[in-house]
Amino acid sequence: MINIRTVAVLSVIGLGMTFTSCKKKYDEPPTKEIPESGRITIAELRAKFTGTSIKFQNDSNLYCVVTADEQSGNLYKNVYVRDNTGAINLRLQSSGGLYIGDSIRVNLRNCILGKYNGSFQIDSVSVDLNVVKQKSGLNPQPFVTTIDAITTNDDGKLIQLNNVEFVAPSGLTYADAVNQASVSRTIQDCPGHNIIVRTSGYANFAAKPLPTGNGSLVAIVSNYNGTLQLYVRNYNDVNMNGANCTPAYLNKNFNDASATSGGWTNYNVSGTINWATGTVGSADGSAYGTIKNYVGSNQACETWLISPPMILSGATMPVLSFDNAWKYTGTPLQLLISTDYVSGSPATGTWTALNPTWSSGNFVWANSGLVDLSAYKANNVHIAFKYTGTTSDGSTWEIDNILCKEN
Amino acid sequence: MLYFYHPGKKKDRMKKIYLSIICLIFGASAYAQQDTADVVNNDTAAATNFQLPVFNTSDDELESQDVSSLLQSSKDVFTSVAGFHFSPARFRFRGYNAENQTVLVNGVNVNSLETGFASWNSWGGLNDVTRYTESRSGISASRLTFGGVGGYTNIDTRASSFKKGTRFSYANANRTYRNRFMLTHSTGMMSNGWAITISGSARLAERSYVPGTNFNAYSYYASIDKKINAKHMLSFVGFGAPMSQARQSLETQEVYDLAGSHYYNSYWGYQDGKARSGKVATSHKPMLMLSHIFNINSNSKLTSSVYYTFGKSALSNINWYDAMNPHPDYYKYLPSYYSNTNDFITSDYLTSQWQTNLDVRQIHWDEFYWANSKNLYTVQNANGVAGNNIEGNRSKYILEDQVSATKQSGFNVVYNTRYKNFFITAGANGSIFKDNKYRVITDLLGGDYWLDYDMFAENLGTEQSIAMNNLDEPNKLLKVGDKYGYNYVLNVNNVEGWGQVEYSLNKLDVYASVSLGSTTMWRTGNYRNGKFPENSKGDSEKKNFMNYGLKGGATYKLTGRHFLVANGAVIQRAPEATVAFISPRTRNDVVSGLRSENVYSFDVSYMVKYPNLKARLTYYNTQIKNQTWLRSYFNDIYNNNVNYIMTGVNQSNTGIELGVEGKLFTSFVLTGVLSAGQYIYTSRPMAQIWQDNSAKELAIDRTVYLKNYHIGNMPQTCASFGFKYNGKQNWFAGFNINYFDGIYVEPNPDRRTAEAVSKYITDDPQYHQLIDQEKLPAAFLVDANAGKSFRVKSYFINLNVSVSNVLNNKNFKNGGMEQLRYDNTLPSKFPNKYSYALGTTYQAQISFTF
Repeated sequence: MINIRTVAVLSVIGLGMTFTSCKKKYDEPPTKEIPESGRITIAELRAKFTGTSIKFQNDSNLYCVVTADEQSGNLYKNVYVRDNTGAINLRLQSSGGLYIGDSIRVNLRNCILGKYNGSFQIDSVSVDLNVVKQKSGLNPQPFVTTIDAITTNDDGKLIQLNNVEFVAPSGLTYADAVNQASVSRTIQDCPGHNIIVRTSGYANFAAKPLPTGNGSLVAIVSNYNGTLQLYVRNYNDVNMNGANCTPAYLNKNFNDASATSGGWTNYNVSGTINWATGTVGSADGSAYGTIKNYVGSNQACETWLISPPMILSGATMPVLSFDNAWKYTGTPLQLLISTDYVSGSPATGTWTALNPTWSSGNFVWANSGLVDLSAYKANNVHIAFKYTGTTSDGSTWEIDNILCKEN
Repeated sequence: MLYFYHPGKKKDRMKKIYLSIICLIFGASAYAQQDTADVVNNDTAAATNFQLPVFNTSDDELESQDVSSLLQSSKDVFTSVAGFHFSPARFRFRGYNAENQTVLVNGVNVNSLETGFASWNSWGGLNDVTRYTESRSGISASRLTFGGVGGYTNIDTRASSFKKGTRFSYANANRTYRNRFMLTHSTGMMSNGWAITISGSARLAERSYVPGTNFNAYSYYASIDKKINAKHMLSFVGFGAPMSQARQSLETQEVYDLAGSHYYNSYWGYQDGKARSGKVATSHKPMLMLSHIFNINSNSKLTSSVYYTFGKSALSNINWYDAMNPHPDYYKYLPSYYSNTNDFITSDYLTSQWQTNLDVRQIHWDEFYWANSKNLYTVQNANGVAGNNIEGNRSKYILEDQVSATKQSGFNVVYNTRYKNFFITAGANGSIFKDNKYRVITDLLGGDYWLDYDMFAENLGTEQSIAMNNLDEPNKLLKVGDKYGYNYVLNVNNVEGWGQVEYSLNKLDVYASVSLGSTTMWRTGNYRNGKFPENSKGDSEKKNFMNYGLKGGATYKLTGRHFLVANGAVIQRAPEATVAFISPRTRNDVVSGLRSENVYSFDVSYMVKYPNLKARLTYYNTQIKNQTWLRSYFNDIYNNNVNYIMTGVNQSNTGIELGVEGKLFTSFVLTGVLSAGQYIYTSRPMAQIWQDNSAKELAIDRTVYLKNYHIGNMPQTCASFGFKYNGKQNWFAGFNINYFDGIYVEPNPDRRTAEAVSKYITDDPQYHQLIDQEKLPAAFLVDANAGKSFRVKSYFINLNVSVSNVLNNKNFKNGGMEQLRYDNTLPSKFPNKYSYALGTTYQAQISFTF
């Protein structure tokens, strides 16, 4: 009897153990497997393109991290990604869904590898269909470099530049937020290398003033038909609050719509024509200084625009530059310099003509080039623009971005 | 353990057996002497679908060798402990749906013909007159019904079953209700042959444990028995239980965390300083029954009953049109909706709002009234009358009831007879069941009218009729009390005949039962729906299902104290009427592939019975095949109600049950109970997906890779250790330590399809986020109880206190579901929703019997 009982108990226990303790594997719906050949790197992609766009017909998988997204509005239907081998631009079919720090797998089926205005891109990426996030919240760090080291092969890369500053930033914004137009600004490093910072009018920092100091900037490199451009990802990527490389001796950009602010003097040797400011036909989108003698008819005049005094005695190699444009027949504008003028009538000083590059007329803007002022390293240096009109003719002149600094 | 020593000549052998049993468990235990009917009725909101049989525990030692009483659940340690202490974890006996357990009232099957399970709400609060039950769990012989594989419970409510006397009780609690009053009076069988019992109760709570859950329930009952002569008795029973209960919502963990409480409830808000819920369940389904008990002779008895049950149950709901979603927990109002798109400014703002502003977490009744009061709108051709243009405030928000109004009439006949060693039972029953389902406006919330348009159909076509839910009443201006939206009847007729033979030998008892039945179901549409004008009104195709059941079992008496029991059953049964139609709200189309379900089950038990030791160990194995599964939910993508249907759903429920009870020094009782099961899906069902408002399927023949996923929302492992002390002056005190594990979140089938993971490879994190099943953490809960009874003159006074979750564990997730809506690109967008077991709750009761 004991045997039957023991057997009975043990068999009940045994049945229980057998049927309840075994852990069964969950069913799995079928999926694709990626063969090793189905993986591709950014370097391989960039090498694959030989001039004609390639549409992917099969499952090629790119594993990469998003380095720039659309959140600030500076990029639209565009993100930038990188892997260990390089960086590239993804153009999205519709906006949204990818963020800086997302680690993603992009199945390239139906996407198109190509070049757009010189930059590599993968076009027609659907975030819903092609992209699978592996992780989010990563913090991709920029590659620190210098302006002169950037090449057209760096398009798509996330870089950081240190010790750079905007050229003549005063009074300017990143872009034209009012008209939602993109604008190019220039940054330079202390040695004077420069590169364009291109910002969309839709960026949420488009209306922010450009920083006037010196510092660092993180951005994406783009190649626009051979011209290098940087795209700032968001406002916090720009940290330019430090001291500028060297303070300018003279800096007048008319952006405050005043011809005489900053110690400049308008002096009428004869007639009543004065220097003024205007914006029509501006090269940089902001105001410039201008003068014309046509007020219903040509007026006779001689009007000087005289700078505040510059102390160039300690300078090494001071150079002067400005932008200019003109139209209509008349006496050419003159650029003059004096080391003994103090104030009042220009006749109280001795003036020497300088020889900058002048515009060819028809309101085509020209840059003066760097005018060497090293012959005038004195304590009290003034420059002046002398305009002359007659009753029979007179040009209209526009000048802007007057800058005297160390070369 | 040595205390289990039993004096006798077989003591060495006994020891071995004890040890082999004991080593399986961690203790032994005692069941509480308490009103278990109360417990079951208490948790109706959470547990209507998975109740254990009600039974009455009594402590008298059963020395009889009567096998049938040995198998009674009320004497079974496992069943009594499980029924009393496992309900906070939503324990289900052997992992079964309630449809597998047959509930009888005076022998009449009260399982719903529509859903398969019995609604305990129907007699909620009538504890005094529903306490006499006969119950067996698992497959067994039954002299009342063929029954399901989960067993049966018969509640005896006949007046003549109650002793003469009056009982009044008052209970104070903080679970479902705060206050309960019950009064029962019984005449007993009087010398004139009449017996009358009446009973009534009230259970009330302004707010129970969870905020915004007010509860009002009443019950009434009367039974009159007339003994005509020694052979004939007529018995009438009538009862009903009107109740209303504001529901508690299920939430995502994010919402619980934001609200700072695991009992946050999104269904309510203040109106004029009073809490008002938008989700109130109401129910009142009285039952009337007349029986004739014919004692033909000392060996034979014929019981015949006719019955009628009718009434309504409803769930209220806030409906809205051309307005913001009124639910505070709508996913687009949550921080995660914004942090998912890296908008941390908005998500931080919402987080602080949720954390600090109570208003954000609640229903804004005042805003509904404001929105409704200024929405002037002119209805063209109102009520279908050309040129009848009526201007008024069209409600943007309304409160509606989704009503199920049922009527069922039926008969039940059972004949029992004893012949030599045979006991033979034969029975027949049949019923006609109709469930009218419709929406009805209960409050226009300050507006003047509501229009019966399908808010999701207006962009389906240019014809206005497409948006109309009822073409026969176009442009009807709806007022409070008007039905709208959908209106149809589910009809189920069934008839069953069955028989059973029991045969007793000295060492062996055997039985065999057979049943044959037929079920017919169809839909009758009352509305001609604008999208399905030819297919929505009138009768659908009638689906008929022939059903059968076979079961049998044997009890082998190894000795007078050791028993080996084995049972088996094969049952084919009709599918539930609720899953028979692809979109019952709108049309008559039957689910393709709808077929009967097949149940195969067996169990084997070993039982020991000594004066100071009782034990049972059971292994069970049940396969349920060819089930049909249907869920409706709102889908963002289609902007419509979507019906997700699976056919060919198979499941396997296997496991062991162990219950041991031992007595020490006559005053101490120790109990140990273990239920270790594996309840899993075992097939790859085929899914079809339909929209309410389109005849075109969204998917058909979609394979669901569901094999080996766990059936969710119940513990697959439970254990309990109990200790009870019985004092000399009629008092007792005890506690139970309960352990729950293997609670899984119920899987959303569509996430386990090739379509859901089509863009993924197995290494992608989303692949596993989509298909993995979440297992909730295991938990311990401790319950304690004490009671005392004494006599003052002719009054018997009984005091009882039970405290559940003594250690106030508020972190026990006792259930969860995957949302049916999901985003396969961002699975975390629609995270799982959970429910938490209540913290410490108590019930204190005093009763007077005289």
